[in-house]
Amino acid sequence: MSQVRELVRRRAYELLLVVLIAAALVWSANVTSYLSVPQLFDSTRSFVVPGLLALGLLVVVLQGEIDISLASTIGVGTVVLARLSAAGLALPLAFIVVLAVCALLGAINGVLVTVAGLPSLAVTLGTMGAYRGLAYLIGGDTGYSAFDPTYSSLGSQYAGIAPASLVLFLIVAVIVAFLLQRTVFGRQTYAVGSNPIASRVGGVPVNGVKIAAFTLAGLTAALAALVWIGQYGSARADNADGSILFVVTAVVLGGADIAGGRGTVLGTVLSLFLLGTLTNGMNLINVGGPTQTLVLGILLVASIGIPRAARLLLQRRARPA
Amino acid sequence: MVAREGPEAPATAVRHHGRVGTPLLELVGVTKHYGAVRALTDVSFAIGPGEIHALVGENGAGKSTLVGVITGLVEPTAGTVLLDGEPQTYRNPRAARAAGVVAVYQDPRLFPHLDIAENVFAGIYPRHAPGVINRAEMHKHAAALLARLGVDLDTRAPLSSLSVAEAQFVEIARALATDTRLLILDEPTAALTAEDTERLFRLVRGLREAGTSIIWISHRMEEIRALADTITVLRDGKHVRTAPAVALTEAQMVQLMVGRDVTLTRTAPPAAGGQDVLTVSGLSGKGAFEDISFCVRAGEIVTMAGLLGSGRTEIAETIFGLRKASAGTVSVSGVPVEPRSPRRMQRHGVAFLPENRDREGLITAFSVARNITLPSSRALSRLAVMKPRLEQSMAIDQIERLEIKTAGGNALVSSLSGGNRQKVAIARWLATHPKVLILDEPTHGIDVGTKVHIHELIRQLAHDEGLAVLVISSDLLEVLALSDRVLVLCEGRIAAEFAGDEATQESIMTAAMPQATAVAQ
Repeated sequence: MSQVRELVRRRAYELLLVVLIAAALVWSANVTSYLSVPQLFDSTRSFVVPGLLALGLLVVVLQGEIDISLASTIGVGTVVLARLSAAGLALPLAFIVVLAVCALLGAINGVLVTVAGLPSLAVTLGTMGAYRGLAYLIGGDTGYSAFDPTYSSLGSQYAGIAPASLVLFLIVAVIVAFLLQRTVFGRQTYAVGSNPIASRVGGVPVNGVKIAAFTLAGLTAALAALVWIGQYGSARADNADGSILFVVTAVVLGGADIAGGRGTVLGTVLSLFLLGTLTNGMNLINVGGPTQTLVLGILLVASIGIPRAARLLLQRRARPA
Repeated sequence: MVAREGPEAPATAVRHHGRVGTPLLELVGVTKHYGAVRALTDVSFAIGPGEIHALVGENGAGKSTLVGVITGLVEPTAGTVLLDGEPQTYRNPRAARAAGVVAVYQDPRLFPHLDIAENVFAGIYPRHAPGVINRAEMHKHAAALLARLGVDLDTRAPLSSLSVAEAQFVEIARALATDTRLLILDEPTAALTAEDTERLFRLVRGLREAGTSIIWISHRMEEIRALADTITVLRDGKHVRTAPAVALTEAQMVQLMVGRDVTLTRTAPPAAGGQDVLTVSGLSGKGAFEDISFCVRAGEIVTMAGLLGSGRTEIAETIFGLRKASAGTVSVSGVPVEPRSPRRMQRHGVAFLPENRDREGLITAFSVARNITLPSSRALSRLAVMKPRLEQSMAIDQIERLEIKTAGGNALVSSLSGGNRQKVAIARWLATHPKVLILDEPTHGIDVGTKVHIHELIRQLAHDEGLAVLVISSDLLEVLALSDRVLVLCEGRIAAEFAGDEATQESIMTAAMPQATAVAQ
């Protein structure tokens, strides 16, 4: 019994998300007659691409930084894959190249933030534009869809009843969770996000840890690019443009503190499922794109504001003892 | 409680010096406690109109808190501040300024991106209409004020283009832009050249002739001699004496500042000379310290004494790789190590406990166990994966060894008392088995019981376990109680060195005082 209570206390936020997901499911089941288990599984494909980015972004946010260039990195990833497919390169080799390119783009962000000491919001706002431009330089204005079938297998095939991309997402989530909870890097990530000065005094290589996080985020963008090609069967320089709002919302709604130091993979994954269910439901009843964007924006602000307001209320109640 | 007189009282009223015999400012029983810390206890004295009143005392004697109380920055726990015999309770420094009481601090508190005139009139801009600043008028007045101070500055230059000394004059001009009756100057000459100091002296004397009272806070005996009409000495938050300047000799002043009951006693026998572990030679840091050479032997406790700003913390931070050295070398156990980063120094066996424990020494949002194991992460992992069992046992060992009072290893550090937090901060370094331990104000803000415990721990680490320990302390009793050797820093240089059993409070203070050094020689 006390274990249950302890679980509720420590995982209150995650439980809240589970309740919300259930509510969203009931709602979508009521407003539409199409809802079924295969339909739900299928709908997860819509958030695997931003979900992979969210897992990478989570690590960056935990360190007190932000990376809004990730959606542009996907654009670079897809057009590079298109070029390599056109050149007849086998997928494993091509994928290694894309991983390297996206990791490099992430590392550039990291170096600009740490070595040059620039604020990450400004740096990645700049590289968001620069990397998108790079995607156009590599891929031109037109799309490419003559992919070798191996290229699109990850994003289009099923592992049993579940889409392969969903399985990939869950595997990456487990890896990131392991990194954060069980490795030296994870320990240092939370330390840097909580107090960078004390971390430095405590012997944490702050710059190295931050560069590693941005690089890791770049790697998740490479995976997302490969999934993208399978899902859409085509690559164009403007791929995933504008999806960063969804990604940032997922991380913050998942309980990560935008100032760093607090947040979990579980929270991010749950908030992705919640956002996915909501989006799915809205799609089924034909809510338009602009309205969906409005809902996402409101959710982002609310997910930052409401916990803060709750904490203030609690503090005020605790004080006059 | 005192009736709320307020900022509404006519600030720009005709200057009146009060009834005959009424002091301009009077403090009655002013007391300020922060929890268990007694910053000020029952301080009472008066400042007459048109008087230069020197306020002296050691670091931590309560001078800053007292200035805070006078200017409305700090609300006293008890006691009254009277201006012209009327009790005052300013809610904030703005209200105090409106009543004619202004403080100018060591580190000018100005706006670097605004120009000089905008800084001088910040908050009280002359206006054409509500919300519209009359810039011509503002620059004219600012220029007139600066001319009165005898400084020649372009009022349109941004503040960031000025030297510290010039910025300080701007801040004084800001104080004079309103009708100031009591001007408080906190270490005003710390950043000034001899010429600027002379200019400031003339200005202050001029203000006195005009009827403004000055509180002059300084460590420099020569200045106090040259300027002060009256001297007030504070010690340990208590008022010791207020006397006419002519009635106190320099030696008497020093004695009044340091002469308190000795409660911490020296128990340590000087260590037998071990090998040199930390060797610093010719170390310099731009603008902070110059040509520092010393060594600390295994099993030895060396303390660095000196005033605030004498460069002690900067030296420690440079040795630990937190600051760039402009010259000099550091060796650990005879191996030269370039102090490039804390991580590098840690690998060579150097540990550093910063003065600001909560901001720099600990991650307060982490548990006790995670704080203790953070610097040892590498040793507690294999292939970068942490080993929870090793981690747990290291935390428990340290908690038991240092008798840290905590609900358990998983309790957050923020739930601990100051003394126990300090033990956690020390524990995390002990777990790395350092050879050199540098402690910056290890017992600052810690209750006496824990203080004694930490002293015992430091002695045990040095004398029994053979660590080379370097302690920075502003608490002279702590210096005397701990030291095998004392280095006295003054203005970024080593001014004197004493064996632990030869040092006295007076000899350390004398060496630490910038001007007193010259007098003594």
